[in-house]
Amino acid sequence: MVGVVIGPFLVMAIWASQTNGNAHWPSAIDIVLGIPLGLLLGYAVGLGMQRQRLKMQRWANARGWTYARHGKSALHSKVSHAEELKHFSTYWKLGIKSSFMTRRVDGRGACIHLATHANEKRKNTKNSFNNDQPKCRTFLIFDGGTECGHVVIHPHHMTDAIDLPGGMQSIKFELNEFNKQWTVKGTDPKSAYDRISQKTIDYLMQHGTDYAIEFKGGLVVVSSSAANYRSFPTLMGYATGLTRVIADDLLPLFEFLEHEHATEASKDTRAENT
Amino acid sequence: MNMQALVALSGGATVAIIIGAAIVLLIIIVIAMYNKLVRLRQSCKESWSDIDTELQRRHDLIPNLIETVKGYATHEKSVLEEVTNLRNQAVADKDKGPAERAKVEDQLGKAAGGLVATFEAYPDLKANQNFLQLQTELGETETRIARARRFYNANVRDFSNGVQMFPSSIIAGMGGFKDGEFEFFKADDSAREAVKVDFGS
Repeated sequence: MVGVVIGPFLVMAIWASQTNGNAHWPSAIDIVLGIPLGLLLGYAVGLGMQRQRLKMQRWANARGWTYARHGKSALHSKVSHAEELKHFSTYWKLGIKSSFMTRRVDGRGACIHLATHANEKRKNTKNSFNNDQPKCRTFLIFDGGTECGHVVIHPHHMTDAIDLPGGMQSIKFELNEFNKQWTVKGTDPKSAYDRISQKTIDYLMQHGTDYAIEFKGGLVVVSSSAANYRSFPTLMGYATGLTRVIADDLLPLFEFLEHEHATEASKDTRAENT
Repeated sequence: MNMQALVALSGGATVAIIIGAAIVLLIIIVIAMYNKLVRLRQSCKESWSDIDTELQRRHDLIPNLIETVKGYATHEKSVLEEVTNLRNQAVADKDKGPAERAKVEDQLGKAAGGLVATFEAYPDLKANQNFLQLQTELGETETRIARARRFYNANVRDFSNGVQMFPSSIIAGMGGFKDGEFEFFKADDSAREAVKVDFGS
């Protein structure tokens, strides 16, 4: 349908470029030529999108997840406390979101999706051309299973040292190396200390600073800088590990990838990558 | 008023504004430092009260545990006596400081753990729902004590740093904040000693 509307204008634009821009409105010949051309283009684009959706659907099903075409509604229907997301500082509320996949295990929901930042760009360091890519991030949102105060854990930045009045309190831990690499802020230091035990500190240090974690109410958001749905299993594995190192009464274990799915997933990912 | 006088006046006003702004900034910094020390002191008190609550929970659980296992104790009377004595001592030390309480509480924690481990070997007790319930509760209480202890010690460390470090040490001195106002709830030194393993000859 979009193709039918756009088609005549497209033909007119091509015609105008050939005749030094003298055309104003589509003429009869533009419409006659444009409608079939637009239909063809629209069909091709629709087919490509459908194929991509089917590919993601198969990919998600192979890993025990469900691909959600209408992502935002799927997120809110599967994850019980998704309305809390508006209070999360590490979540890109204004980002353009895509590739939503959802899962529900033992009454707890999870949703993973990609997001492209509305303004920020990622520096392309591979070549000298000015073709900076939009900044992307993967978000895994899930029901924590227990209530928690607001706690944010993210890689350390220079500006983190400034504590704004009324803002979240900076929380320091026993290990200086950890404090240098990570910033922990929150409104409830006790919740942060309970969750960030020595085991959690070791886990975070071991896996590098590519991730950010945030707890609030019954919701947990874990994100990484991965920019493709094929890297979802890495984030899922990281989040599963996190639920393992935090005590069960504070964050019950959540297997985002079941064992057999994890094995299949790694095989599939390898095959797709090759 | 001539031009020179006007320039001199505006120059004086600028200096006065700069000095005034610096004083206001200094006052804000002093207030922020003082408030931070007050907050840290309050955190220490609150986190100590959390430890106290959990220790009290353990004191309440132990008599129930002893009551449950008493009927099965034929050869383990000494274990029961040791736990009872330590529990009584811990209750008596309730008003003492964290450092002193930590010694007895650590011993009590170990002894209670040992008691549960000893009686786990009794098949009748293993099927006793009351024992299993108490065992779980004791385990959970120990975990909560460990968490509360870590948080309290972190608060004491932050308070101590605030009192000792410049420039907040000046505010601490004027505001009556003293280093050593709160003691660490430290583990028993014997618990830190390396385990000696005898591989035999």
